[in-house]
Amino acid sequence: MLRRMTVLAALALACLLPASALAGRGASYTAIRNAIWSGSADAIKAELERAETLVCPACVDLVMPLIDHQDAGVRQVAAWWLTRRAVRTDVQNQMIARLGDVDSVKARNAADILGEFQRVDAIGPLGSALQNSTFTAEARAHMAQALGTIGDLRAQPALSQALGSADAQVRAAALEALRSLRGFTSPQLALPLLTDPDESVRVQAIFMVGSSRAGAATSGLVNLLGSDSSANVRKKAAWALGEIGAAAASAAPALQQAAAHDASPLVRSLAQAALGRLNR
Amino acid sequence: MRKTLATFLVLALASCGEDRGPGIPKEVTSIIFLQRSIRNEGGNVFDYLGYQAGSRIVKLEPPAADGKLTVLTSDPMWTGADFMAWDLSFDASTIVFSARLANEDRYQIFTMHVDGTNPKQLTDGPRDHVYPIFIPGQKILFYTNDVVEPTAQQFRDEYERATTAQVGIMNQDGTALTLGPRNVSHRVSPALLPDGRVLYTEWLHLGGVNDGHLRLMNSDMTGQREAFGGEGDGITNSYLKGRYVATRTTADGKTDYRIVTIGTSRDRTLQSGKLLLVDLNASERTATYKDMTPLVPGDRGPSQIGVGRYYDAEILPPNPSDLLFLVSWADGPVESEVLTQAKTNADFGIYLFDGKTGLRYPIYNDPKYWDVLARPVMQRPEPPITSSPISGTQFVVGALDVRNSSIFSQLAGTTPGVDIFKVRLMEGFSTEEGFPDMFGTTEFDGHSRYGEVPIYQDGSFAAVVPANVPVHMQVLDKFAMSMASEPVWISGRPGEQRFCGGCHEDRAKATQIQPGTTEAVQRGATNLDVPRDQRISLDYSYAAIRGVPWDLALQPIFDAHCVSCHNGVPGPANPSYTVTDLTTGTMQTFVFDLRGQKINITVGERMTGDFTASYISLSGLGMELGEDVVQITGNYKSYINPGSARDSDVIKMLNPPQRFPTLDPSVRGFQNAIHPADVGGTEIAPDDYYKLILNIDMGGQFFFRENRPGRL
Repeated sequence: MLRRMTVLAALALACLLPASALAGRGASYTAIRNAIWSGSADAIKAELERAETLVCPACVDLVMPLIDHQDAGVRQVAAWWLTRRAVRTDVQNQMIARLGDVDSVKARNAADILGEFQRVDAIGPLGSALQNSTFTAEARAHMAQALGTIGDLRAQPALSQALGSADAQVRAAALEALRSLRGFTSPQLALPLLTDPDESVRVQAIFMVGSSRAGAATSGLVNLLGSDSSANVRKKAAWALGEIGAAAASAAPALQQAAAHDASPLVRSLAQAALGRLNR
Repeated sequence: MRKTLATFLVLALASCGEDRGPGIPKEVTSIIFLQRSIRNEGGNVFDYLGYQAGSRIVKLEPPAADGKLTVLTSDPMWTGADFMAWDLSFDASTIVFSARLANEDRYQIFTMHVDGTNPKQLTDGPRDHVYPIFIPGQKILFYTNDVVEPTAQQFRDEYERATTAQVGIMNQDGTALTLGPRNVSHRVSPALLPDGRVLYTEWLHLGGVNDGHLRLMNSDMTGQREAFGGEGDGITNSYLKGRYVATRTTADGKTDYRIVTIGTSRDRTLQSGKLLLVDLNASERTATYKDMTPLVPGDRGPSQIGVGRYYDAEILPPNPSDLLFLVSWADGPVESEVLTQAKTNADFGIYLFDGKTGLRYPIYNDPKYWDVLARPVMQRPEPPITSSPISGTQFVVGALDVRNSSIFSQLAGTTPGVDIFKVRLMEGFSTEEGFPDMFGTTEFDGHSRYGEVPIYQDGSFAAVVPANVPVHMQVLDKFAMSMASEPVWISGRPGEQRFCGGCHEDRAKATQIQPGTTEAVQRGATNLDVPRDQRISLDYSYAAIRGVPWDLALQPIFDAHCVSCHNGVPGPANPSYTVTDLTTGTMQTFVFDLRGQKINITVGERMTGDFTASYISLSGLGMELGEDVVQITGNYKSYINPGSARDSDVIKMLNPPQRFPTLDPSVRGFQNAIHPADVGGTEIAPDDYYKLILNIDMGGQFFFRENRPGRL
């Protein structure tokens, strides 16, 4: 009964909602407020995007709590919206201060906000917090992701250091972030991690050497293709050898072996596809 | 219990109503569709990464509520996967689909036999591969957020922050994977036409344009052009999931296509909306449509009970003129905010839709899933391969006669060398290059000038520009001001030669000049192609300028010629306005000021402190006033019309001299005095005029590559 009343109430409310067909137009304080009240991440994102140029100082108070929303996409759009406003500097300072505290959830959210802000002056604080083992692995992984989102090559030292983290989640995130840096040219950093005990780290290491077409990784990839217990890793190894192309020509026998005999049909097909790319 | 309920609902749907409808044609013996996990986060219409575990691909034979449902993805390898799009091979033996497997982060492309056997994975890696379709020549076309330029970042949409999806093709075994030219934003939802061309949706946001239009390209990713949605011929913001319906003959005897598409708002509608029947009519300008579902909202407003929204549509054979469609439809308010408030979800099921009557008949609905993207399992003819001539590795763009235009009436009757002189070509990019905010207070993407090439006496031009990179073009007058600005980005493959009939010409009319005989072709295309790392201004002279960073290129002009009067001191030379926040009671007064100090705006939009007083004074706040929360009193004015220097008051006041064919200070752009000489100041130099014009024609932005925040 309660559910039915809720539905009816929602439908009644629906008739009162504004209806604009245009992206980036028709924003209002009320629309943002209603979206937040509804709890719909979809609606919140849509209304904040629509409010990109809305003059609405009062909306800041609505949006600020979204910094700690449980949905990462909402945190991202909140940051995107806030970075277009004067309060940005205050928010950035608050987020950097969180990185010096001990609350991992708040630090994680702060990293997400600072990443979306894309300000290079956040690289230092994020890099320092990334090495702080007081924070959970999840929080530090988000710090690495934030550095990747900022994308500035000055984050490379901190991310490289994080490759030695005891937490696999951090190592994997650091590899992924390094690959996102503009002008990054050091795929050899990933070579030792091709044999990492954690599957997600091996996958990210494969992605780095494959994306960079690092011929020096060929033997390591061949080993993974032939012997890794994870079909997922073997798939990625086959893909990477194909990406490397001619520089991985020596992998042809291993790829033929995998294409014919691997237990996973998905590995077999990717190995076959990689064989066709070795002559690039 | 849940299975019993689902079965009951299926049967109830199948039996409701007296009218049993026209029925599924007997030729359609089975259908395949996706059962996607229920979600209330459809994202905007370009969102291709919405993941919910637990989807599957199923076959229903016969296509009726009591038909046999076979799960084609029952193998444990698919457990926890999400399937987002699929297509059937021409011989109906194989399906290709995009899926994100459990414990993996990316959508990849797979094939399998139509009975679910022989699964193969074709793509992998740290990028997504989505929307696969079979295309002629034993190939697969798809979209991906991988980047075609090894040294570049993939475009990140400035507005909705996702890495953009671009086109690619590959062989059916995953080899010969080739990425195509890029748009500044997303391309999604491809479908094949009988002539071998591909229909797809492209997000256009160049300046004030912010729509999802239907476009066409050849199956080799060349020849991209508009199809429907622009030039004011549509009724909704976005069109997606376009599908071929029928081949028809136009009034002038030409063969053309009828398609069906979903028309909707960009967001909040779970990528569903109206069913529109569109006759492409060879030209975006002449395309027409029929709204088959007039009660369905075309905007983001909640749909009513009994009206609902449509997710997709597929025409049923054998007689497309019967207008019988397989559709996915959900009842009630298919709008994410209302659904969330009501703590419920849209329930898409498979229906037969009669386009002649507008009536809908249930086929299958399992309330545990979104039943979507149903297609008959039937053979279809394989179209021919469509392609453009490929020669060399460079992208050549040109027009046979720029005056041939369907949208720029101002070009009609102009004479090359008298009224029009050059075509300016500019590169597009977005925030992926390290721009934390927008590029300024206007809505333009990042720009960088390649250069300007001559318009010859016959109206032709040709230029070589970097392949795979979006290019924006403008026709220039003798003052180097844009007379006509192409409203969309275009791009081409290496070796592609894109010679349009004109400047956004009427595609329905035959071009009067044959390719190969224009003066531009005879003289050869002007080469503007330089490597990416060189596409930055070495200096800001006319010859070398690419970006026009406000603080570096323009502020010195203001400092030298303007700030002695326009210095922020209220008076006749420095009008002011006050912005009052009626909610908080705060206010801020802005005085016209062309000095270069950054100002911290405490009310209104663009309150970032990134922009200088001169920029805010000339460009304005770029804001949208919402409700009654802000009031502006005084002389608020924007002196810049973004994208059009000739319509900008600042340029009219300064009154630029003739630049083409030669610099001539005695010939002026406007019939007024020359400022600041008219008040005793010194006139600015010709190249300085050009910098101002170029900045405004490129969108009136503050940030360019040259002053990117944090640039090393």
